[in-house]
Amino acid sequence: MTQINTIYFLTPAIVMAFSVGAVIYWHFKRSFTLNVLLYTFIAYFGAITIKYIFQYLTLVPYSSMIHGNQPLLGVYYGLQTMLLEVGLAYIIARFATSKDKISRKDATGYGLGLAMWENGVLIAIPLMIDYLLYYTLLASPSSSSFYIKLFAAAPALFLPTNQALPLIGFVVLERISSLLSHVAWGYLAVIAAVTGKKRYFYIALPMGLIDFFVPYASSMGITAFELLIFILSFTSLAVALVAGSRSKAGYAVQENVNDSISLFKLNFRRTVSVSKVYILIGIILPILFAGEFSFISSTSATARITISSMYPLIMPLFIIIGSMGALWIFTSDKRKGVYEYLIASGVEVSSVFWSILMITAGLATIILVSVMIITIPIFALAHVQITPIMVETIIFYSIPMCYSSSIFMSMAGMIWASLSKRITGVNSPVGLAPLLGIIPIMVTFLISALVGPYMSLYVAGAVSLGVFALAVVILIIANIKMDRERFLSNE
Amino acid sequence: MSDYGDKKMDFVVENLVSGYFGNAVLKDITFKLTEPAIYVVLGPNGAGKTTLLRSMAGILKPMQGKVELNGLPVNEQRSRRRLSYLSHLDGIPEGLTVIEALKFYAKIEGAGENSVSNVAGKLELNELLSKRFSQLSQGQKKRVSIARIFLQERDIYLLDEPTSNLDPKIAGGIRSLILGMSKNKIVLYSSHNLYEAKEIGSYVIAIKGGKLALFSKINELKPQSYLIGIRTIGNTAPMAFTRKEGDYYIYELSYPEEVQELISKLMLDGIKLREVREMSNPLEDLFKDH
Repeated sequence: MTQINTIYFLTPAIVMAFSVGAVIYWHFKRSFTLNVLLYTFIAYFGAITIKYIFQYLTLVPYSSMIHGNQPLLGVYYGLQTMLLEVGLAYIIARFATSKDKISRKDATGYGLGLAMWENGVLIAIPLMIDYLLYYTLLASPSSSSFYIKLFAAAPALFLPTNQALPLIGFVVLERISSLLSHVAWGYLAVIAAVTGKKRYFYIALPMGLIDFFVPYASSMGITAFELLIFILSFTSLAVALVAGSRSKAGYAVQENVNDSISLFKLNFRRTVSVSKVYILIGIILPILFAGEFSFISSTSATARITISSMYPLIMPLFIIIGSMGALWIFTSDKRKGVYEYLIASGVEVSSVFWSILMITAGLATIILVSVMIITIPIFALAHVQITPIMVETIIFYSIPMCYSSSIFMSMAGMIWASLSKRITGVNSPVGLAPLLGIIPIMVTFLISALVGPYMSLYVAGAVSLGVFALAVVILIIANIKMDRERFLSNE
Repeated sequence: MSDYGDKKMDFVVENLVSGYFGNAVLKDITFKLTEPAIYVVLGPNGAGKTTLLRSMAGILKPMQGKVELNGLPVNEQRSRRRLSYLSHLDGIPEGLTVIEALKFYAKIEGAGENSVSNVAGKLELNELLSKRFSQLSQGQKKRVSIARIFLQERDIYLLDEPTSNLDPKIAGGIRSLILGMSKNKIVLYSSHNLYEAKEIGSYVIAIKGGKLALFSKINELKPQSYLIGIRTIGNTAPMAFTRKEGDYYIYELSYPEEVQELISKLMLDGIKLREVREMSNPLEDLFKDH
């Protein structure tokens, strides 16, 4: 094998999915404020930056001074995590609480935010980029020298799937342990800050000592090491939750009862109701195209190639059309003064944005899954060969583009509708939504043309990631900077 | 700070400058509400009544000054939980039935499961619950909109023109409803109608050109002279000693309510009326003289 085993792509994908997914799920389940992501970003990356600088300056001299003594090296790592990661998490939580930016209901979200920045961003994204680079470089005709170097440095990347899977499992387990630990001390940091009782912080502090075991990873063996870390992390979380639940008895202030999940559920149902024709168009048109392509493909070999390349490329366009309803709901609610009530009730601007983006993603999923379920049997019945390139294009281009284009459409449309005064009809953000949705597709094509065909699928992935990152950044900025009057009706 | 029951109330608007997109609509407004009562926020269209209520509800962030409830900024959750706000817009999401809309707001407000049925009973909405909001009449829509603010009991109600665009009978019903449901509460009730203020309010907060023109108990307001002009057809002998301006005979009354009495008297005297009009705006007079 001269190519890395592509099963390794699963590692960053799974880590990203559960890290980001946990934040999204908890946001809708418990409605924690999105300020949390900003404050955890500052807390986490502040601590990591200081750690890197400190280790850059001290690790080599310290290691030589202690002659590789494992317990002393463990103390070195453990104390840093304890003082910097847990300590800064508490300091930032106190600051945010003093500004009334976070409250008790944000405690778990705060921990999940810390975990997301570590696992979903700091670990998973560079790992994904590394694998993509390895894959791309090894795919080029002159890759032999790189293959030799990479094989020497990381032979595990070339293992067959049955041997690679356990390694992936251990990496994922380690990241789950990291999530549990971060949730535990992040949760206690907020409880300590909100209640003003430092004992919760003192309970959290020793949890950072988990990194004491880092130097023992190789000597203990991967199985024992990962199990130990998992047990310690799990115990930390259990201790944190028990301590936190006891703090509730003395906590007098009633929690905010705003219900983001209600907003999401209601708006999702309304969106499906008001845009069912568009959703049906989004589902039926690609199916009609599939039928038409199947018929054409039976006429010639050239036509079959056309299907392989054309069908995945046009799929996102239909998703854009089918998911326009969410943006319509946003503009309708703004015009009717719904947001005036929601803001008066304490619902955050970012919750409104989130709910619309999630609805857009939900509609995109419904349409995408429906189209796939119906078109695959059509292709099978018509004996259209589903080629590897077609599958690859769907996975790396169509699916990311379906989500990123529709989310970009909704996000840009919402920002536009918020910033503009009274624009109605086809000139409105809703009227021009399909054109907004095409922008990420055009950007992908343009960059692909510049970097060459080998990279085109990765460009799609990178543009999609860029759109998601942009959405998160815009949400955070909108929550902090956007004037609330932008959400009031002009009528 | 007032204290009734265990609910202390100190609702302070201090040097408030507020508006939209950097343009100030309200300029240096200061007043303090401590007594449970209905305060009618009075002012002509464009005076800044809606901006004042939006600022007091924590929807608009003050450009300068502050709005505080018991020492806490009004946009903080602990303050918000004591406030209920009614916009001049219905604010009901498109496509919902009445019950769906009320249930949605009940969840947003954190109201109990029985709140919708309780409010529907009190406001006689039971027959409307299954109807789509968009199919209701103006009066019914307003009742549903008002029902929402009573889903969860609050200490302070901010009501922006709750009777605007309603016929007099429905408006009267809405006023009775608000009067009945707002005992021991601070209610700010915006209107551009002086007569409505007298009917419902204990205090008047008059806004003119974005500034506080008057804050007074309504019963302490001195009645202004109220001039009306009458154009007639035919016999004008009974009006021979009445002052005339152009085509109009001018009558000075103490209260607007005396207009009907005057008209009846003139008609009994055989005068055929062509037009009756206000020669002065009592609201403007009110602002001018205080």
